[in-house]
Amino acid sequence: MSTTTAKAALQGARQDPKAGAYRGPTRTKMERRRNLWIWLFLLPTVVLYGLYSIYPIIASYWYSLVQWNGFESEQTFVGISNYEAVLADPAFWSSVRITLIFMLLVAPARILLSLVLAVVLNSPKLPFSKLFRTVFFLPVVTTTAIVGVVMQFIFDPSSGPINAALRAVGLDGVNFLGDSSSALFTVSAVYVWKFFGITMIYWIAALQTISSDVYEAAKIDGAGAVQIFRFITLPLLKPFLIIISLLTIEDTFRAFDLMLTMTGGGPFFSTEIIEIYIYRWAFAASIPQLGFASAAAVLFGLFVFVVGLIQLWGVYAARRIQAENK
Amino acid sequence: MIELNRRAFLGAGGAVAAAAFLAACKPQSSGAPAGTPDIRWWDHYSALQKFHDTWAADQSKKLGANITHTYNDASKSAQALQLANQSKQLPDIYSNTLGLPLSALVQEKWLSEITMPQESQDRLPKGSFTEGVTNLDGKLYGLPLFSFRQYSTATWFNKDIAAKAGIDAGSPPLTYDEFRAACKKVKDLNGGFAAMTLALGDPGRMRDQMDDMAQAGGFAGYQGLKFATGEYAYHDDAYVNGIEFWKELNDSGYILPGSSNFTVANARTRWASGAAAFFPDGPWCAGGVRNVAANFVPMLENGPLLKAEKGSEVTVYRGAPGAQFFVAGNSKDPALASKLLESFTTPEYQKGLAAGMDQPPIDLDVVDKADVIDPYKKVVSYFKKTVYRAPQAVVRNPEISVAQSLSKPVSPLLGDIIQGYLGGDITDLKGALKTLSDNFSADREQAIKGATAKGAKVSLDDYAFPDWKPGTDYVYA
Repeated sequence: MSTTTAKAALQGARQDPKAGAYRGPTRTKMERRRNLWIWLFLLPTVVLYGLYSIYPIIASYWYSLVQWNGFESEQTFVGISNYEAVLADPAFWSSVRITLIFMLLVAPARILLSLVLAVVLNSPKLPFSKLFRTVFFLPVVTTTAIVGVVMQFIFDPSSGPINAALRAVGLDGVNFLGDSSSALFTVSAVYVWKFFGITMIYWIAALQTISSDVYEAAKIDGAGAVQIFRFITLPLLKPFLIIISLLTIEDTFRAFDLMLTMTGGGPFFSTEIIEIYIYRWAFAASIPQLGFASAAAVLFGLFVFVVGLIQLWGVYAARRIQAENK
Repeated sequence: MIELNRRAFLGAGGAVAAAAFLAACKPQSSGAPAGTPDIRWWDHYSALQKFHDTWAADQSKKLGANITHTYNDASKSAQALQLANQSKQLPDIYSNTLGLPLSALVQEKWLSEITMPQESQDRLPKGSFTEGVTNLDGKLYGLPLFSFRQYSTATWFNKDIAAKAGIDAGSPPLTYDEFRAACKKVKDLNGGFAAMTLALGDPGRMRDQMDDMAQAGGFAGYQGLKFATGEYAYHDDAYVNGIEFWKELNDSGYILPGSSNFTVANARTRWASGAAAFFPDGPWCAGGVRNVAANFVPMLENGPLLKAEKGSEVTVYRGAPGAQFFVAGNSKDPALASKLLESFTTPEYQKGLAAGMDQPPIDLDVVDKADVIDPYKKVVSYFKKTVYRAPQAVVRNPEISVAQSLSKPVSPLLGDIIQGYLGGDITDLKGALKTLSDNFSADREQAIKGATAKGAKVSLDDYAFPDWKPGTDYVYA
C-alpha cells in the first residue's frame, strides 16, 4: 500500500462511522508496531541506564544506612549514623570547601574565555575558523586520565618543560602539583583548558541564532564592534548565558578523573574534592567503609540535585526572557 | 548493485552486533584439550610477573590444568578482589591484599582450606606457619612465601654518582649525620642530579619507612604500638626525630623536586634514570629496577637502614610471616588450587622467587644460591643480622582478630602527616602525632568493645608484652 492510499484509507475510516470496527485494529496495529520499534531502540539505553545509573543510585541510598566494608556479607543497619559521622568529619567539610573553590575558579574562566573565543571564531572574516574550532575542541575528546598523567610530566618541577622554560628565563622553578598552595590552581588551569572547548561550542551555537541582519542594521546605524557586542550580542545571549552557566557549573562537579591522575587529592588533601573523598573511603582505605562513603555520596548527590533544580528554574527563566525578546 | 535502504542497514547492523556479542561471549580457547580444568591465579608482585607467568605455564603441564596468571597493580588489587567476590568471580588462588584478619576471611567464605601434605609444609623453615595468621583451628588457610626478616628502608644508592661525590661505595652512610654529609657532597657537585628522592606521594610507603626509622631510632614497638605496654605512642621522640630528619633534608634542598607527588614506582624510575643519588627502598628495589631499567642494575649499591646516632645498633621487629596466598572460597577445584600452591614450597620455586629479587623468600638461605645480584644478597644479609620477631596480640590471643575486623580506618595517617609536615601544611608535628596516637587508641577501644559484645574474650591487656626483650626473637610463653 502506497503512503497516499494509506492516508486516504485512514481519512475514509475517520469519516465513516460504520468503519469504526475496521479503523480501530488498523491504527492500533500500526501504533503497536511503531511503539514496538520505539521500545526496541530504547531498550539498550533503558537497560544500561537502569543498570549503571538508576540501580547504583538506589543501592547507594541503602548502603548509606548500613555499616559495611564490602569484604564481609554482614551489613549492619545503623540508621543515619553514617550521615552523622560524615557531617561531623572536618575532612568532609574541607572537601566541600575545595569542591566549591574549584567550581568558583573554573566555571567563570570556562564561561568567559570560551565566550570570547566563540565570538572571535564566529566572525565570518576569520580565516580557517573551522580549523581553529577543531583545534580548540580537541582537548575535550582526549581521555581525561591520559591528560592527567601527561600533565604530571609537563608540570614536573625537575624535568618538566614549563619549569625548564622558567629556569631558562632566570626564574626559580615552581612545584606546581607538589605544593599545596599551587596544586588546586594548577589543576584548575588544566581543567579549563581541557573542557572549555565544549562551552565554546555551546556559545558558537548560541551566536548562530542571532540573525546577521541585526548586525548589519547596527553597522548601518554606525555601531562599532564593542557597541555591537555590548548592545546586540550580549542581550541576545542572556538566555543562553543562564543555561550555559548552569551546565558548566554542574559539569565542574565531575573532575574526579583529572584530579585523581594529577594529584590524587594531595598534597596533604589540598585538592581533595568530594569525589576523591568518597573514593578514598570506599576503595582506598585499608578496610573500605562503603556505608560511610555512600552517605557522603548521597549528600553530594543531593547537592548536585539542588544545582539541577536551579538549572531547571534557569531554563524556565531563559525561555521567558527569550519570549520577551521576541 | 544492491540498494541499501535504512531497514536493510539497520538489519545488517543488528546482525553484525549480535555476531560480535556471541563471539565475545564464547569462552577463549586456551589451546588446552576440552575438559581441562581451569585455574585462575591473581597476584600483585610486580617483580615476579615473568617468573609467575612461566611458572603458571609449567604447572599447567604438570598438573594437567589450564592455569592463567594475572598481575594486578598493588594499589588496585584489593578493589579488584572486592568486585570479583561480589560477582562470585574470585580467582582460584590470589595474593593477600585484603585488610581483614584471617578469621573474618574464613568466616566470610573468602577462603578454602589449603590441603597440603605435611611433608610439603615441612619444606618451609620451622615457624613459617602461625595459628591466627596462616592457620585457624589447625587448618592451613594462607601460604606464607616471604621472610618476616625484612624492612622497607635500606639506603640504596647510585654507585656512579657516589663515586663522583667521593663517597666510598664500600662504606655507605650509616647514621643521620653521615647521610646528611653525603647528601651535601652530592649537592655540591651541581651535577644535574639531586642528592636523594623519596616516594612522598605514597603515604602508605612513607608510613612503612618511618616505622623502620623509628625502630632504628630506638622505638621499642611497631606501627606506633609499644610492645611492653601496648600503648600507642606515635608521638615518641623516635618518630619525631625521624620525621624532623626528613624535613631537614627536604628544607636543605637535598630531595629531588617533585618527590612530594611521587608514588614508589615514580620515585624508583626517576632514581634509576640517574635523577638522584640515594633512594631509601626495600629489597624489592633490585627487582623493580631490573624491570624498568635493566641497564641501571650495575649502578645499584646499598647500605643498611640509617640509625639516629653513632654507636647505637639497628634493630627492627616484624610479626610472624604473613599469609601471602589464599585459595578462594568459591574455587571449583580447591584441591587442584592447593596443588598449585604446594608447588610454591618446592626448592625450584623458592629459587625462582629469590631470583625475582622482590621480597626475600621465607628461607633466606636460598638467596645465596639464587641467581641474584650482589647488592640483593647484601641487603638480605642486613636482614639476617638485624630483624627480629615481634610479639603480636593476635598470635597470643587469636580472638583479637574479631576486634581487628571491627577496626575502622583512621585519617590522617602517619604517611599523610609526614607529607603535610614536609610540605608545610602541618606546623605542630608532635601535636599531630599525639592526635594520631589518640585516634588509634580510640578506634582500638571501640573495636574491643564491639568484639566483647560479640562474645570475644579480648582486652587491652592482650596488646601488652611486658616480658618482651629487645634484640631477640619474641617467644610466646
